[in-house]
Amino acid sequence: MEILDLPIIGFSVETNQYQKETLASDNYHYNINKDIEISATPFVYNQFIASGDYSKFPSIVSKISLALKFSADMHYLIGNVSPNYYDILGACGWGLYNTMPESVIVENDSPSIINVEIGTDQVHVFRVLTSIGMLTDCYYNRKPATIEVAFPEFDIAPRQHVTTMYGGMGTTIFRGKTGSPCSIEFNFLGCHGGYSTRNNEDIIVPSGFDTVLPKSLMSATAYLHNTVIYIDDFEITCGNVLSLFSDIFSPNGYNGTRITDRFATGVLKVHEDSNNIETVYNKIKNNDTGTLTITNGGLALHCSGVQLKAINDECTKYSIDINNTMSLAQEVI
Amino acid sequence: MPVLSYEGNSVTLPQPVSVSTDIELPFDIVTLDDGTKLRYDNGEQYDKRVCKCCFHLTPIQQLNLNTFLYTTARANQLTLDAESDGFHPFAPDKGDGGNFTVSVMISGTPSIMTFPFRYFKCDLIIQNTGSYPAYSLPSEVDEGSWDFGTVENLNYPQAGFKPNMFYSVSISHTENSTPYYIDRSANADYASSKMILNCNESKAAAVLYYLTHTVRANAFILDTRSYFIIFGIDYEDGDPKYVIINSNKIIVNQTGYDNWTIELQLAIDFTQESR
Repeated sequence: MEILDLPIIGFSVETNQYQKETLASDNYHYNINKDIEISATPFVYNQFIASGDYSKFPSIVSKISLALKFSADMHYLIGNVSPNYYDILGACGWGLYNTMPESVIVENDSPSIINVEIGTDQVHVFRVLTSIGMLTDCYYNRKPATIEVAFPEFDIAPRQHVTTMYGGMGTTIFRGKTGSPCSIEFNFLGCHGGYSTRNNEDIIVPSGFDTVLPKSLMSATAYLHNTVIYIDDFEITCGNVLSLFSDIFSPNGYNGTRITDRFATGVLKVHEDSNNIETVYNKIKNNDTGTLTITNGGLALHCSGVQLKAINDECTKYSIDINNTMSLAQEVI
Repeated sequence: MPVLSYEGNSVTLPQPVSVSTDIELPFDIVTLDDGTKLRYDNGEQYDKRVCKCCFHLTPIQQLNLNTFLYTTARANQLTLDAESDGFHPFAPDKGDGGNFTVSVMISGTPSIMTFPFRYFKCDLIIQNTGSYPAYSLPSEVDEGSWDFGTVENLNYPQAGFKPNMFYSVSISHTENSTPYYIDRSANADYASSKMILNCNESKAAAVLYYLTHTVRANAFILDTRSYFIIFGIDYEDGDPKYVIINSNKIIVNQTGYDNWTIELQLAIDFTQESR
């Protein structure tokens, strides 16, 4: 039977942490079906015993982990409801809260680029919790998820072939390229929950999708160190360190993944005429920290504690370090 | 930022780059002739907690600290306020806020470095010398399935267990290799195990509070589940075991964001378990 390369993602934060959830149709409401990669990694112990010609005996398979990668286009809130992909951010060390960082200005969705400050209860804002300094708040760092990738068959009564991860946590990469929507790449690591097949009468059909179309990165405005820069594209990596914890009692040898550290970095590709090499050099030399804000038609990505890390010969590519604080704001439309 | 103060003078330090705390328990552990171990607990008020932490300081910060410790507040007890900012000087069960009464010494002479550039590496030894400020333990966040006494859902220790089964049998050999066995009977056998628990902050706080406040030198029940083989295969019947703390020191390390290790040694309590 031919299996179509049209997978859908099912996702649920685990009610009982590190225990596999049973997913239903409303767990499949993500319009995410691109750049999906699945990679299972068995931990194999090769036995070399000096008793034969090649000293090789059957290997022992033990721990098995699963890595998942997929991307979502970033789009607006619907009314005052978060986009569905916000759930997935929750398992990547992001926490939902309802107050705006003072320095974040959410841009109005209009060609004239009028900056409008949004009041406290009108938007949902995600912010990466700092990895050092907020030790008392363990909660958002412990939202492991069960994730399924379901591939349909091409048939009159198609089945679904499902790969399952549980106890998974992830990290994110935000990308923007002029002419395309901004996207979030999710990289998850977790326990291998096995492969299964749903018969036709049991296949899960998504309950619905977000209908808001993502905006292309066209009129983005970026500020670095309170200075306007003109960007061609950018990539901001949250840099969560995903540690897969072993458990010899667990059937697959793993208990689940925890985020144990974070090294947020990014790369900005800028127009030459927006640079001043002397200024940039001094910022690097003086350990200056600033902020980075990129707004694009209702989306605002804000990073504080940004330090310039490197700049290329043509002054068109900045590498940055981010001191663990990022926020993503979205305008209500 | 941690603040050290003395009679209206203070010095503010940056966040430490590494933190380790030794909890020294005032247990007298005696091994009787038949191998039975007895413990006497002098009481919680005799616990000692010593924080060994490292700071990266600019020359000005280092000079200010030296002046404060060895001129302004020389040979006096200080107050340490960690300002609820994540620095738990005396382990997570004692919190990171409020005023701790402490003695502070610089370990060795700090030296300047090139990486980080023009910073001093300054190691401090801070000992708690008073009562602890009030602190409520954080809500526990589950992260595994192992039960440690009444603290549930801990991680499996990532480095495993190091069991030590001791059989009270020794052998003496004569010159012609005739063996003479000295057997103090199975009653003198014992089993202990060293382990390093890997915990998030909430679980580390719960475990340390449980060990140093609730059970102390008394026995508690440990989940000795399949494949853990905590005390060696002889004692692996799958049933929970009564165990006791088998050393006077617990070492607590903060290894990263919300990650703690707790090094400790436990032994089976053979006054309640059969050999």
